[in-house]
Amino acid sequence: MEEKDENKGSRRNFLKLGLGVGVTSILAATSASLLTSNKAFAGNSEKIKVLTQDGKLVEVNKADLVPADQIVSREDSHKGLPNRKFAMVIDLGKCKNARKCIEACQEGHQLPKEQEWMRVFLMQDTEKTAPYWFPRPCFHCDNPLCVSVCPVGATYKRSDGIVLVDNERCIGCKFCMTACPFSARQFHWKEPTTYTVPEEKYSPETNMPGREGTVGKCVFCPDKLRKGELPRCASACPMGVIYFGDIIEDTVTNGDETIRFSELIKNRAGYRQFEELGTEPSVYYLPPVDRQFPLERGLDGLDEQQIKKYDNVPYIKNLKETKDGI
Amino acid sequence: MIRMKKKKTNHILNIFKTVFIALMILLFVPEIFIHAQDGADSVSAKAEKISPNLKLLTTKNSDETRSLIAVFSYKDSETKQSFDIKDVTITFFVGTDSLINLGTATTDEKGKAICSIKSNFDFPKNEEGFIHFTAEFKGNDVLEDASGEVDVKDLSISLTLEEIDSVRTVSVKVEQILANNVRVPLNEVDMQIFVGRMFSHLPIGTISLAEGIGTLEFPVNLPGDTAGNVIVIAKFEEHEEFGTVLKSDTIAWGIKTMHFNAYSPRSLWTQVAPVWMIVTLSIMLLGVWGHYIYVIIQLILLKKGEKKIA
Amino acid sequence: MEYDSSKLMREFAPQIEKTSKSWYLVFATLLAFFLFGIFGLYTQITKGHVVTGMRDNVVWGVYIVNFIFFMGMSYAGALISGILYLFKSSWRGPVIRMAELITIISLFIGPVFILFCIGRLDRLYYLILFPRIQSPITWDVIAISTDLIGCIIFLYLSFIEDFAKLRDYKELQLPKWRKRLYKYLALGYQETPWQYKIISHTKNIMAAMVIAIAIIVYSVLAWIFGVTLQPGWHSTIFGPYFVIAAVYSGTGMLIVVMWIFRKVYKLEEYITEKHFVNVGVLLLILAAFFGYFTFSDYLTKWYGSIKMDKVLIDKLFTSEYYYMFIASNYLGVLVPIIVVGIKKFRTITNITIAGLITVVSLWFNRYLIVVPTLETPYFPIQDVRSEWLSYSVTWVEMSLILAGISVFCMLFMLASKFVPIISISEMEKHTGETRGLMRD
Ligand code: SF4
Ligand code: SF4
Repeated sequence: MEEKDENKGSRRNFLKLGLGVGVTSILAATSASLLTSNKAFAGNSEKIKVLTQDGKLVEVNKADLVPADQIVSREDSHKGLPNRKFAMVIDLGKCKNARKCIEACQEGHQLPKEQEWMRVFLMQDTEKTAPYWFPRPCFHCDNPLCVSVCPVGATYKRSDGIVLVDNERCIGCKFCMTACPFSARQFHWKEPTTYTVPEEKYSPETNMPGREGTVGKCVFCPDKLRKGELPRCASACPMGVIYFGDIIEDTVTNGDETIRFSELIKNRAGYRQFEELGTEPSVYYLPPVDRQFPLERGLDGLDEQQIKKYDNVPYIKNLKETKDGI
Repeated sequence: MIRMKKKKTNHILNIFKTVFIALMILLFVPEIFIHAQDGADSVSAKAEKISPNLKLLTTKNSDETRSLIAVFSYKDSETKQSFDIKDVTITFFVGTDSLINLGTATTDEKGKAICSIKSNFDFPKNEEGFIHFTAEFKGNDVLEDASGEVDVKDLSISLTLEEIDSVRTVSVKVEQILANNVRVPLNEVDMQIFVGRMFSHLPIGTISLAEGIGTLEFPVNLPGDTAGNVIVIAKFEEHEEFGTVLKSDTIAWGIKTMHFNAYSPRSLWTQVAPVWMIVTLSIMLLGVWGHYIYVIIQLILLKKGEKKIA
Repeated sequence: MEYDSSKLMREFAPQIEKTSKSWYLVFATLLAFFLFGIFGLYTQITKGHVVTGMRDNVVWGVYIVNFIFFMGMSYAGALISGILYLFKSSWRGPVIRMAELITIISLFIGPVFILFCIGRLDRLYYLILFPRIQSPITWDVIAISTDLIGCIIFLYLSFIEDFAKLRDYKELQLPKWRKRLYKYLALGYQETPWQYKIISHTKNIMAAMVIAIAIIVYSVLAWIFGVTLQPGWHSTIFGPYFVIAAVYSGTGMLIVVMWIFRKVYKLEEYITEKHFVNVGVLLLILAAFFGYFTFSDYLTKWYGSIKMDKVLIDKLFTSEYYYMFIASNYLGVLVPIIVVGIKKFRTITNITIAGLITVVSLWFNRYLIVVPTLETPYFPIQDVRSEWLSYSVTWVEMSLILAGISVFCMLFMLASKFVPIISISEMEKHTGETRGLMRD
């Protein structure tokens, strides 16, 4: 099994590498075509609309925009995207614990396999109620207790609602971890080994590379948002469970479907988890009704150990007991 | 008899051996070659080539330019995983009999290569009015050749945004442009109207075209930018006959939005602490440290007194 | 009883002058524990915090428990010596110095434990460079440093007169530098009326300050827990609860220290049963208060049984925490009350045992506040890594706890070689008399 995995990896690497070697890269606009003289080729003058600092739509040349992979500095990461306020809506009725969101996040943020910024809990509120899968990113609360308690301002909330951690400021007191009621934060207990991003390229927007003795958590992928793309988890979900968008323009999308946020929440009885704690999350949930998959589908493909982690859930307890009984 | 049997078994064993070795070679050699290529450029002709997929799409943009988008990818038949292939040069052509080279473009990390064509370019069309586009990849040492094609009809959309009897109305007029510039209005087709949003286009309604014309009432409660501007888009998305065709226009029909981080005066997560906290803390600190300083001064006086006595 | 200074000096000089073999032996043993702790710390710094039992759910473990514990003991001195001083209790003489020493020594050790818990010690100065006033940790930094300085000043004030006595006691057999040091530290105190006035005046001020600050420090510490939303922590009672628990544990410690020094330095003449009973009564009152606070905290949680509170209380009463809970919150309250409350039991040994039980059970009380709460977060703990599920102390943490205790003892031993363990001036001045309340 493992060997196969390795093979896959090398094959994939080869695809990335080998092609770079095999083909000389030619810039998109260069052309030896007959028609250049005819001026049919418009070159790279694609126009796109962007939102300016003061929140206006303007049209600019795509080529004039900053390259997408430019790193946002620590100072700039404090400023949110102008006139935006991000929110996520998670449709519990569609989740089947496919774990693609987790994997995409881990890959995108170079996290080790056990470290999950995005998590999928198996929730069962009481023994009599139905269990359901519950994906949980950081809620990017509007009244974030984690930010309130930080003694050095290493964690902060920006105007677009995103809560970030600055690894170069954090002293590792872990107070934010006890303050967050949603277990969204994680500590680097030892020097992490999975990062390939060099230290100079550190940006709180990606929180890479992570460092020993500091805190990390879900960042809502501001690097993607800057490019106008959805966060990694939202675009990775095969079920379209995760909607993401800007509530100022009242729109969320899961990549396939674009809906008005207010209507979605109204029609599907959206709610926020643990509203009573008053942290005012930016993540909304649609109740697990009209399930598209039976719950057990979420257990498919999990090994013993992974199922073991749900042992305290009454549903799993029953399942195991009946199995043992037979 | 026994000898015979032994011989026979030997024989079978030999066949077995040969087959096994052959199998091993078959199994491992391509792997070895693949690995060899991994580091160095040395390429063996025997290596199994990869057959990629090339998908061609076309979009007629709002400014009447046309983009040809080639998506170059590869799907592993075993793992069902697909990879986008970057840095591959794609050549674009138009026409059926005599191909016109439109240019080349290189795929990006999403495997996309885009070729933009000016709005006044005169595409060759067949009798039915279809334009035939082709994208070609010539193949190299590891990838097989690939090509993709698409046939579309040219479509012209005109979008008018105006208030009719104080109702904000989106009107469209859609015509096919066939060979020799013959214009035929589109009939009994549904067209979706969108507004542009950060990540995608938000549908606001559908217009059923009759004789190429249709209208839609623009919703009143839709947020726009700080000036209330919204981009209204009339669009066919990957239509089998027309490809993607869109027309957009900006108008201040949205609600003006202004987002600032509104926090309650009692919130504690802000950068600066609330005034009462600073005041309380200062008073307490001043009080305590004032006393400390007073005590220390007293002690210094005590010490000074010693010198006097001595 | 009247004590005069030269008799007292004669009595206490040997304690300072001579150092017995067993002293060295004990000290060396403690030093070994301390070095083992250093090794543990080295391991933790080089290998990272994985070597502790803390993980993403239980992010604070015994380090924080020890921090609260030592800070709590530091309260003993502050409050006891401050109050006894301000109210001029007649019997305070022999115990006041020990109480002050407990204060200052544990105040040095306590904050060190919180440092063990910090991921990036190299950035510690950010606390001062980029402080956020809203954070209870910033309050704590300010309050603890203020408290520390206040206690040092207070302690020093109460030493000046004794330093002067040591300087003037000609027969003292000590190296020259020690004598010069005493002379320097005595600030030329000659017991002239104006000097006396300065000392007692400033001492009054500092006693009041120290009491006030100690209350603040301990409340701030409680608020670190109280301001979060964690079940079991988010409680308005935590401030006063922690204050009472702190004085309580400090008083217990005082009794233990009294007993040890009485035995080691043969102070039976000075520290009598009366002192034990008096401090014991204080212990009894505090036990009652502590029990009351504990009871009302858990009662309200239990009665209302909000979901998370219920989960927590179920955990405390059904899991392995049950015995710890009984030991700390029942025995720790009832034993002192019974021992001191019933006259027949009021012997020195019994009271000391009660004091010891108090100290130990209060440590577990803090453990029960910190760890089970962190093990019951709002979202269930679902992790494939088994160490992530619950907390258990590792050898590194153990070694640092031992090191902390041994440093506590070592500093006490050193202090007893530097100043008389009983304040001579206090004994001399105030024996048998009660002066009025605060003088201006
Ligand atoms: S979920 Fe937790 S970490 Fe995220 S913003 Fe809210 S309190 Fe902070
Ligand atoms: S662990 Fe880091 S981010 Fe969290 S409160 Fe402490 S300093 Fe701030």
